[in-house]
Amino acid sequence: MTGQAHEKMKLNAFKAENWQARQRYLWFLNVGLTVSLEWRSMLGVVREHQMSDVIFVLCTVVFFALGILYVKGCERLK
Amino acid sequence: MTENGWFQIFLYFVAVLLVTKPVGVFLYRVFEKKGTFLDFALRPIERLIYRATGVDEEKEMGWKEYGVAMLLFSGVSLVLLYVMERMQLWLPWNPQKLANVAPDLAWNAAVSFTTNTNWQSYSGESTMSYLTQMAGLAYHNFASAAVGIALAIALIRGVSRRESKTIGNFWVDTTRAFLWVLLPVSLVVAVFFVSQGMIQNLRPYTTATVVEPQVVETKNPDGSVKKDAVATQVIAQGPVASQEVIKMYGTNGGGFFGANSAHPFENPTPLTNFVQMLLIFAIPSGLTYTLGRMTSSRRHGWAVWSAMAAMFLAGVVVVYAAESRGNPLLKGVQTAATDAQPGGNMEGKEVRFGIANSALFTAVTTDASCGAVNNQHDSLTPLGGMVPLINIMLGEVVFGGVGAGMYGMVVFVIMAVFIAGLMVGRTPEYLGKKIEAFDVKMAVLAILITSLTILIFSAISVVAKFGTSSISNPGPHGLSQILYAYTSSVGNNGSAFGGLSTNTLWYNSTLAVAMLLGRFFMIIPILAIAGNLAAKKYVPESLGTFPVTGPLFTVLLVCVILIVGALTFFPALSLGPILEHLLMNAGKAF
Repeated sequence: MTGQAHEKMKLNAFKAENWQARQRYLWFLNVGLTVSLEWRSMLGVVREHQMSDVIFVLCTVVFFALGILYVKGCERLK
Repeated sequence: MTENGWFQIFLYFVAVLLVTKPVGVFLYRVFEKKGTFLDFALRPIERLIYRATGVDEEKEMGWKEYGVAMLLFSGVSLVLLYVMERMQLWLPWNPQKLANVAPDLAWNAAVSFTTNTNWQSYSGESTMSYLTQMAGLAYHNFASAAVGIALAIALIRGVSRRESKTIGNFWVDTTRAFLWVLLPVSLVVAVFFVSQGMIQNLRPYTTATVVEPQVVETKNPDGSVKKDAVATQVIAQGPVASQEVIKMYGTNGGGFFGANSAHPFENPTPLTNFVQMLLIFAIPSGLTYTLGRMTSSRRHGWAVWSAMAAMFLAGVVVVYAAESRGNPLLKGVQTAATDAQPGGNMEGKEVRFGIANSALFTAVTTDASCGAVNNQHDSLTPLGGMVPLINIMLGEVVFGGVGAGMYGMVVFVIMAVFIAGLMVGRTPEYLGKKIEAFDVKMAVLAILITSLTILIFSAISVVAKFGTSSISNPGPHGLSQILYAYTSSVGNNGSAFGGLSTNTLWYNSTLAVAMLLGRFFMIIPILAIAGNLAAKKYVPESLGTFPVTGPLFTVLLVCVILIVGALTFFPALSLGPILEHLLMNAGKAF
């Protein structure tokens, strides 16, 4: 093998390695972004649902508190 | 209409009549602590519950304390069910890995089961895990029914007691209703249901290969047609039999499956269909006898029963006649019943049950606050569909829900004796108690709160886009769908007319509010009546007292119920099912 051919082979190997590294990098980037986006959207859903949970539980508490006031209101009609 | 159909309706009526006294006597003995054949087994459990919860079973409550205890018990139970639905994915007994229920739907379902309504904007088999069904929904089937019975008994005590400040103990009444009335029958009849082929297991759903694969065509949003080959079918199953008894006996009505009692796993044979209908009326009918027994006026109990029976029979006859007549717009179709086919309107009905048993089931489930269905109410003829609507609008006092029917009926009894008193110019009396302004105010409040809630929410829904966008049929039928949804929710019935997509934020939230108002804001004035009546002195009957034991009283009571219902809801009914009926006869269908 001539020195030139050896250099070319080394360059190709480097390119291949570089390509693999690039692919690996892209894969990690992709996974990272996907996971991060999923988490972000999941967190958003959870946050939104948590808000709804708070609202509905609060509605329940308010209704039954009103119910107790209603008991007193009926008594006052006497 | 066939002789066979009439005979089955007659047989059912006789069965209801036969169970009335035994159930009534049993309820009387349970709540008056007179001793029953179950005491040896249940009394130790009852004592243990009181010891664990710190309840003093000898302590009696006034109506306000009784009402607040009921509110707290219901409120806490509601929140627990909501939490369970929202966390079901992470809890055990969820082999299908069903997702956590969405917040608005979870709240709607939690309110629905707490209020004994069991309105379902979802299909149980695809939404609720086994744990949610068993520990959440079934628990509420027992609890809400027990609370209803306790309240009816408290009201009857209010009528029967003299110069008393108390009407019983909420915790004791509810516990005894649980242990003596609901649990034993649920256990025994569940075994019977299993023997009839009803499903009872905790297995994951079975995926079966179909005998004849089908090609299903669906349209894509761009208009292109997509073809899917369907070669398998998922067969839903689960602990159905154990849920089914309390679903009917507690007049709950929430089905394990979306198809409810039309599903062969939930109602496998004509015999289970008959027993399910009998379970619905057993306690409400028995409570009329308990009323007579506890107030020492059995004839009054039977007079109330007669009023209920008359309205029940009238309802069944109308539905059966309307459905047997069928749809006159179906030209060239044989609608007469023959040996080969049932005739009439079979749309939305189970072939196994036919027209008579579908009509009977429809009347029974809406006379009581049950709401289970063995046929699609949306597919009934306009007049046939109007009957369940009217049954619920009248307050479900035709036998009614467990307890709810009785206390609803006593409100109308008070109105009836009040009107009779006005007619003869005397202070009205009811079983030796003077009916005064406060009692009438509370009775009117109980009637108004339900009527107003139905009409206001329906009115908003028929004009707002978020309400009309859920309607599947235009015109008067669409109005009937919305009216039925709110009527069913406020009346704590839970049956759906069908055709209305209610799993939306608007309907889930407002139907839940309607259920809460219909249950608790009606109960409080009734408890106030109970407390007020209990404190009154006994006034001996005189010649001027309007008797509440004879046919005259029964007729007056029926008239008052019909007039109040007609005055309140006739305009809405005339724009819905009545108009639809007239248009159908003129050749227009919706």
